[in-house]
Amino acid sequence: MMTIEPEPPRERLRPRVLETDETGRLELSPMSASEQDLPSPRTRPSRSPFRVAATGVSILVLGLIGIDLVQFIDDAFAHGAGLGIAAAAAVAAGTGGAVYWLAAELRGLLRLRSAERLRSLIPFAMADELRTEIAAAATILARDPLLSEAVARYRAVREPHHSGRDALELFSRFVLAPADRLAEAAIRRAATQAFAINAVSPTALLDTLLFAARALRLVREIAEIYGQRPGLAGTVHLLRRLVSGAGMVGAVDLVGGALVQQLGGAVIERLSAGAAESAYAAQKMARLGIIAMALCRPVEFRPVEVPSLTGLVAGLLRRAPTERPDQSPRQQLG
Amino acid sequence: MRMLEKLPTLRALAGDRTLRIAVTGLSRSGKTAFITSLVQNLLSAVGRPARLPFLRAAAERRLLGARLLAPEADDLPPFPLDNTVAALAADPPHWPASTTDLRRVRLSLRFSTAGFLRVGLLRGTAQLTVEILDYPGEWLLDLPLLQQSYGDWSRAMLALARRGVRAPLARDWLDFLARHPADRADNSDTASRAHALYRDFLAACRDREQLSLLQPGRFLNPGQIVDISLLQFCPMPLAIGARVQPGTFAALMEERFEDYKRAIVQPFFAQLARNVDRQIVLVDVLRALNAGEEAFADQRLALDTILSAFRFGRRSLLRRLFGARIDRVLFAATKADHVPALQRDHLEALMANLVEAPTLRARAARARVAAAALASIRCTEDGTDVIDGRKVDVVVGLPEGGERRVRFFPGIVPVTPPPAGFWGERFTEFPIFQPPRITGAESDGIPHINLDKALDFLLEDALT
Repeated sequence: MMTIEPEPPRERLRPRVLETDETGRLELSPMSASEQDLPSPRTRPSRSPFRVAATGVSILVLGLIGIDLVQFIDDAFAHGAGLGIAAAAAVAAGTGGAVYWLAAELRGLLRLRSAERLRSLIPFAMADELRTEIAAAATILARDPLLSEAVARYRAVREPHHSGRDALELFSRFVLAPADRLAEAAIRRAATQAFAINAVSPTALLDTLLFAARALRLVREIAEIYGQRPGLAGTVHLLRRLVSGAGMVGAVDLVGGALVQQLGGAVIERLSAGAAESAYAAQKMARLGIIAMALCRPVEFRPVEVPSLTGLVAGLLRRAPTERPDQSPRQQLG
Repeated sequence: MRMLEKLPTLRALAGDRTLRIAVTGLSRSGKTAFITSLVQNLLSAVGRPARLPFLRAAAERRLLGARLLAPEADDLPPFPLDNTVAALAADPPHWPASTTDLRRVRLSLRFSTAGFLRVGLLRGTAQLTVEILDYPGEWLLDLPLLQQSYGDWSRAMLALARRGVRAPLARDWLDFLARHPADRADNSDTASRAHALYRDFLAACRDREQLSLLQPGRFLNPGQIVDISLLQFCPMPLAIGARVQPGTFAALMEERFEDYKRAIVQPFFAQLARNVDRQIVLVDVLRALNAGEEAFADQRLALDTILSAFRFGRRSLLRRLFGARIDRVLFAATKADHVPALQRDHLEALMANLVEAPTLRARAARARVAAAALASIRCTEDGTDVIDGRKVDVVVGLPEGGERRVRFFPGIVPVTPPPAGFWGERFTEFPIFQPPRITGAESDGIPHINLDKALDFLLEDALT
C-alpha cells in the first residue's frame, strides 16, 4: 500500500538585517517614468473556412488588379515613353495610397486588439504585472495627442514605490477620468442630436438611417478619445463587439427601463407621444455610448466609474460651461 | 461671556474654514515626522503637485497657495518646523528630536473650488486653515484617567503589573508597596520613593519590553510641569468599595492623583479634543509585531484605551455649536517603508483589523473611517534577496550613523492579528534608517509613501 509522506511545513522566515557592500545615500527623488514598449499583441492563427476562402479571393483580386495595372503601364509605354512614365507614376501613387490606407487600417486594428487584450489582463494581473499592464495602456493612450499630456502627467507622478493598485488608481485619475469626461460630453452631444433627429425626421426609415449614422460617428469618436482611432476594419470590429455585447446591453437596458419608469410618471406622461419617442431615442444613443465607452476603455470600469445613464440623459439640457456643441473632443482639448 | 466664547464657532459657521486635525499616536509612532512631512509637502504641492498625486486638489492643480501662519498672541508654542527641517537638511541628515511639549502648527491653503461651485456665483477661490497639534505620545494615555477613580485605576494597574512580562519588572515596586501599606500615616518621602520605583518600572516596560499601555504618560515624559509634586504618586492596593481614610498613605496618593487629573490632564484634553474635526491615529504596528505577542496585545489595548476618550460623529451645524465631533478617522500604520511594496497591503489590512473595535464605534456614530500604511519620510527603496534559498522582497536603506547600506527583511506581515503559533523569537534589532537629505526649501517637499492618500482622506471635502 502506498503512503504519501506529507511535506514538512517550511519554517516561517524571521525578520533579519542583511549587510551589503553598497555604500552611500539612496536617491529617493521621483524618477521620470521611461517609455515602455507595447507588448506585441497575441495573434491567433485562424483556420476558419471563410477566412481561408476570403484570403484566396483577396489574392485573386489583387493578382488580377496587379496584372491589369502592369498591362496598363505596358500599353501606355507602347504609346510613348512619356505616357508610360506618367502611367507608372499614377499607378505608384495609387498603390502607395492603398498601402498607406491598409497600414493605417492594420495599425488601428492592432491598437484596438492591444487595448482589448490589456483590458482582459488587468483585472487578473498580480500586483507587479499590473504595473506593466498599466504602463502598456499608458503607451497606447500616449500616442494620441488628445491624451498625451494626461499620460505625461500620469508618468510624472508615478514613483517606484507605488504598487500596481496605486498605478491603476493614478492612471484612472490622471488619464482615464479626463478621457471619460470627454466621452461623456460626446455622448451628450450625440444624445441631443438623436433627440432632434427623431423629432424632425419625416419618415421612420430616414430616422433609422440618420440615427445609425450618428451612432456610428459616436462610436468612432469614443474610440478616438481612448486613443484607438479605428479605421474601417477597426470600426467594423468595434461594431461587431458592440452587437455581441448582449450581456452588457441587457444590464444597461435594466437601467434604461428603470429610468423610463422614473421619468414615466413625472415627465413622459406630460409629453406628447412624439416627444417621448425622441426622449427614448436620446436614451438609446446614450446607452450605446456607454457601451462603446466600456468597449474602448483600456481598463474596465470600476463600479464607481460607470457613467450614470440617468445623469447623461438628465444632463442633456445642462451643459458644462467649457463644453461646446460645435466642437469635437479634440478641438475642445486643443 | 458665554456668547463671546461661542463667537469663534459662529464665525466658523459663517464661512471661516478651519480644520483641526488631531495627530494621535503613541510614543515613537512618528508624529513629529508626520507633521513635518505634511507641512513641507503641502507647502511644496503648489509648485510640485507631483509630490502629492493622490491628493485630488493638488493633482487637479487647484492648490493655489500654501503658507505657514504666525502663532496667535495667546497661542501655544509653535511647532519647531525650522528645527525639524534643518535636521533633515543636515549633512548627514538625522531624525528630528521627539516632541517634549504641546505645540501647534497652522497652515493656510488657498485653492480653487471644484464641482458645482465652479459655476455660478460661488465660483472662485477659497481658503482653508489647517491646524495641527503635536505633543508627546505618552500623554494620550492619560486621557482615560479622567473617567476613572483612583481606586479603579489602581486596581487595573496593579492587576496589569502582576501579569506576564510586567511581573518581573514590577517586583521592586510591588515589594516596596507590600512594606508600606496603604492605611499607614502619610509621608511625602515614602510617596516620592514609591513614585520613583513605579516610574522605573514603566520605563523598563517601555524600553525592554516595548510595551505601550503605561499610565500615567507624564511619568515617562513630564513636559514643562512647574509643580513636580503633582507627579509624586503611584497606584496603591485598595479593596473594591473600601474608603480611603484621611491622613493615610493612600489618601495622599489619591489626592495627588486627583490634582494631577485636574491640573495636568484636563487642560491637555481640552486643548486636544476641543473642536477637533479630523483625527489621524499613527501606529508603529511593525515594531510591536516584532517585539512579541505581549507587546502587540498591549499596543492594541493602549489604542482601544486612548480612542475611548474621543467622540466621533458626523458633522452638523448643531454639533459645531454644542461641541465638535470627529467625523473622519484615519488609522495609519507608520514606517511603511520598512516593508516592501507587496507587503504594504498586508500592513494596511493588519492595521484595519487591529482597530476593529474603535472602527465599529466610529462607524456607528456615522464617522468615516479608513486604514492606511504610510511612511511620512521614505528612507528605503525596494529590493530582493535570497534567504534560506528563497527569493524574498526586502527594503534597502542606509542605517543612521552607518556607511554601508543594509537589506532589511521584515518577516511576513500577517493581515489579521496573528494566532499563537505565529510568535517566535522577538526581533528588536529594528533598523533605524537615515532619512533622505532634503534641501529645506519649501518648494522641494519630502519623499513619502501614501502621505498624499492620508491627506486626501482627511482634507478632500474641505478642499472641494
